[in-house]
Amino acid sequence: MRGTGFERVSFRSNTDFKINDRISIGQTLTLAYSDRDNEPFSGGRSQIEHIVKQVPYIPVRDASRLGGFRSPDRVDGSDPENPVLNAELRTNRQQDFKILGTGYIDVDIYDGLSYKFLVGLDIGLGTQDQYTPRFDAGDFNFQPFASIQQNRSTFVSPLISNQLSYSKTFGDHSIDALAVLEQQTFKQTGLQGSGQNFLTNDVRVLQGVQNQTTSGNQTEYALISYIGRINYDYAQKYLISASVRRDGGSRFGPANKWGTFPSLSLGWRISEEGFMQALPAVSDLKLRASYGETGNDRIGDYVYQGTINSNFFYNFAGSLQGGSTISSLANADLRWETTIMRNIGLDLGLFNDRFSLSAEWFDNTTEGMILGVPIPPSLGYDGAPVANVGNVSNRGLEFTAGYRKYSGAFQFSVDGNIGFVNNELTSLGTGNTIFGPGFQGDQMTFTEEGQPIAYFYGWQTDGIFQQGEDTSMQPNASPGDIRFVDVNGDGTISDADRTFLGHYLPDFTYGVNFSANYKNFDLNVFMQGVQGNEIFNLLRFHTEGMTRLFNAGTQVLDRWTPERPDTDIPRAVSGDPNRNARASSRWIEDGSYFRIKNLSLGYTIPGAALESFSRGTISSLRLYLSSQNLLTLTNYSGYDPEIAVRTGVDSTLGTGIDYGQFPAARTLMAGVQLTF
Amino acid sequence: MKTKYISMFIALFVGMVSCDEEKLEPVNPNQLGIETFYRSGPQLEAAVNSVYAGLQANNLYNREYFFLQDLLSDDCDTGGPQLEAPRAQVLNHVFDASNPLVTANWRGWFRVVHRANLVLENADKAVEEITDGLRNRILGEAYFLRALANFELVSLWGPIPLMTSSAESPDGLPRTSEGEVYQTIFADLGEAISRLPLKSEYASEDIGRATRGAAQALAAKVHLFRGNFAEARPFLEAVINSNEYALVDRYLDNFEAENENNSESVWEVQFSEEFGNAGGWNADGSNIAEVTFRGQEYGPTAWRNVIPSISLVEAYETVENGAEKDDPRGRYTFFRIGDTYNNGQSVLTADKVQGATDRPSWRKYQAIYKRENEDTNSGINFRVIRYADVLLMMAEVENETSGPAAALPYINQVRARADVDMPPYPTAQYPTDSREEMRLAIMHERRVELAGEQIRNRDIRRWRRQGTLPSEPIPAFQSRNDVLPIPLVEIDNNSALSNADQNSGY
Repeated sequence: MRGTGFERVSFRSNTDFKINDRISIGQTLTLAYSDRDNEPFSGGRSQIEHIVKQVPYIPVRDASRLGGFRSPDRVDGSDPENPVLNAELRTNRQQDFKILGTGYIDVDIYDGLSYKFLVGLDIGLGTQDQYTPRFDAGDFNFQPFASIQQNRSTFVSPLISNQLSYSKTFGDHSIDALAVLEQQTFKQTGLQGSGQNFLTNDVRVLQGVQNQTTSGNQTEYALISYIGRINYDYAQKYLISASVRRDGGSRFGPANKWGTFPSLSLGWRISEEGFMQALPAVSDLKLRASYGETGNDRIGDYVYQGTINSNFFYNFAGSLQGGSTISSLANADLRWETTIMRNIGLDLGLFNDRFSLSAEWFDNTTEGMILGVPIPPSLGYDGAPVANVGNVSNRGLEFTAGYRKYSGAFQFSVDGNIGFVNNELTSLGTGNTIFGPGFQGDQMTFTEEGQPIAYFYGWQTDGIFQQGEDTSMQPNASPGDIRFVDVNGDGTISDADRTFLGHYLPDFTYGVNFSANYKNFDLNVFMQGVQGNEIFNLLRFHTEGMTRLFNAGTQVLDRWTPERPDTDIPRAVSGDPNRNARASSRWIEDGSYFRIKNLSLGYTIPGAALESFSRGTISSLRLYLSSQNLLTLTNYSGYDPEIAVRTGVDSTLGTGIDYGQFPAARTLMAGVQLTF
Repeated sequence: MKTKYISMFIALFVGMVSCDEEKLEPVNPNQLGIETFYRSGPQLEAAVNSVYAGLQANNLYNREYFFLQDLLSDDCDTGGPQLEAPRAQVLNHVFDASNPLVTANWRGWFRVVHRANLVLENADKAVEEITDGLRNRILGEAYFLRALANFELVSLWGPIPLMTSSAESPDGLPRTSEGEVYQTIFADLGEAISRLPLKSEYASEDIGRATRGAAQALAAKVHLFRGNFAEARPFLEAVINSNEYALVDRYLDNFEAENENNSESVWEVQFSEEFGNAGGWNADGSNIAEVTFRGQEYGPTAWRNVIPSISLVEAYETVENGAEKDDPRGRYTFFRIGDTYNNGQSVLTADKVQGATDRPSWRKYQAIYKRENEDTNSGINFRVIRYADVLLMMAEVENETSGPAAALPYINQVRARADVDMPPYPTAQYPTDSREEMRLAIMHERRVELAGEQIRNRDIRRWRRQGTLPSEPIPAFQSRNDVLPIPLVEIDNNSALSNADQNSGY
């Protein structure tokens, strides 16, 4: 996409040095640099939104206007920004430099007992430079000054880890134990400056600018962990592993800093038993079961603390005075989110593992799920508290099967997997149901006990009112408007008629990986898909909603008129009195797809030919063609059924909503791989 | 030897890992903690300043407040299809509980209540750099602002969750009866009146803060809204007899940036274009949010989302419709094609105006009187209560409690403004022999004097409830529209409310 780009360079070095029989030391070092041109996001709209809303009858470029671009004017009655202008004039360059280094000393103390001391340091330096020159593309898309914003950030994260381990085999018994004490801290500081230059486009730094602002921020985070683990097996037949970790996190309330997370797993390799030797075809058979708890502290820093927000101002008699208030509701009771994972699995290998099969049942329960809880506006807070809101269960089955043939001229392997998950919110601790992201005053998802989390919520449509039909249930409706379903049967369409419209989680997901070699040819294909999920296609609100004078999709040419009653697109009417564009099943679509995710086909020049051709200077030469996202089969009408969560939308409550996020690119690549 | 070796390493291990658990108790370096704030006079003053900042928010006077009030009244028509659907739905009275304007105003006023509550409940903690006088004034400001917000809420939504302290849990409160909300409003205004200084008693750097006169005028407005004319009288008399206020000679001095906080001004929301428009889009008024979008939203050469309604334009007295002279306030309130703007340097031509150019556009509160283009950077204050409104309220009180003759001096004072100079009532069009006739004159005078000032909506509502409207001025009005729907986001997230608590008809 125009206006975006990404470049990365990295360097890695690892060394190990054995001082004597007992002591070795080593280090790792990674240097990485990345340079990214971020997608412009101006006027609160994504580039895709600007693209679909742009009026189609004006030129993109106009040399007579400052900056060389043209956007709509007053007479167009519409204010989409020119997306090409955004891509070419608005630069937003993010450069990150990262150093990650560790050093360790490993001491073999005595007979399987060893000690490792490791220190690590993670350092990051970031600069972000945003610049937009003066331009005047239209009555609603101009900027009389060059805007300059420069952000600088640093983070430093030292890690100290002490590990004591013991490993020993006595006959058929082998034992492996580990104790770890670890502390990781993280400190991030940022400084932002911005200004406006009314005189020139040539200066791109904060010199000679007006309306200059600076701001800074700093956050610190710490995680302290005590970990103990023990593995034991008897003759590779009976396997047991147990561990416990105790984590202390700075992000939780004073009484809830610490969480304890035990785990236990058991395995039985049935194929090692004497009675199995009668079945030589079974090369591997293993039954396994495990129980484990893990903790999650992936939330913002300081969210449990109530703080004063001093970013308010009011001008009394023309001079600015500062204002301070408490704008977020804090939650001092915030504690670790714990996921309890249980699974039972069976692994089977046949004919020397040429066939492999595995089946697993799992039940993962998240307790005290951490979520930003929407609060009623009557409380007057703008920041919602983060809280442990309830328990969510993900139960399911997963099967994988594979076959490989590694002999003969034609060698191949094929692996397939399929997984079924059932998601349910089993209890809500706060007692309140939870609504997801808002859209035109409606809320698009709903979370309540006994249902999958964050299901799509709204009104169910039931065709279009034709002339002469009774609209008394919807007093603002006229012929051509959408009829909604009176779910509660009270004779009128109201907020109480909102209902389950679908869900982002698929009934099942599947994938197939196939790779093969024949003579000098090699082929690798990875295909995957999901089935039975829904997508909230909000982008269609822009292409079919007809609520404002923006460009629309060609679908609206089929809109209802008295002469064209047989359509599912409602009439075009100023002000949308029936709210045809509300959150409803109109925007919900089947999100199932099948996709060839990766495909690569290669040919390796035969050694002899290469030898004579290059006189031995090239040891191997491979030509290849590869593609990502080559083919997608789907009924979804949006750009891409594989949608990411939009920045700024809560990923727990707003997954599966297509706001016009950038679609995954289809790439085709031809290459040459040389080894000297 | 071996044992010694092992124990040495274990000792080392334990020694090196004595983790620093104090790191788990971080102090947020970016913001002050709640425990350490509200301790001094300047901190308490900053707390009350944030309440004012809430008024400037995009949810309220920056944008959504004037839209909601004007679209609910009969002052405006649509300027064309550029008027966004949720706004058109308000204008056409087909809005529901999801309407973003309704939600924004609800949110905006409750934010003001919350911030005022923080001032009221923490005022006693301030012990440094504070005098009793300063503490009293700050308390008075907070009481006034909370009363203003609760009046906006109860007058439009009926029973509301009555927040008398800042919330500590996310749960929410049920709706409180209108009577109890009004009781709290009058108690707050009583506190404000007893604590606030007169306008003239403020130091120049505090111009724009709530005054005793503002609290008294607001108390009168609330009584009038409920039809309690006798109760309104002492408050109006206090404002009038304070000698703090007088009409300005030039009508437009009330709607331009140069003559803000003038003698006619009783209470204004302050704006300024001096500080940039960085925070203009912030719903909560955070950051530097000192501008209003009013100019760009209504401007004849800008979006022109709404235009004055035909009934408003026709309400002005003209020679053509039988008056002795053309009411000059028509010219002051509207721009027509051919008018000059930008300090007389530009002429409004049809090609600069989108939509129906035979219909006038708004001039009041527009910034192009002094510049070529409107943008999001308008610094014109909203005159929420001005002295002309006080005089007309007094006329109404006199008419209802004493009779038309007693009302005449007040209503005619407004008409006698130097650059309005309309012949006094009674006139041929507006006789004032009876209370009913005087009512019509007052309704007329309020409409033309206060057009486009977010006053008409509540005037229509109270007259409708009191049964004194000669006819329904809003054809699309349905009985359910007497109150607005409780926003869906409130009902959905407030554990004390369910769909059954919604106002009937929504």
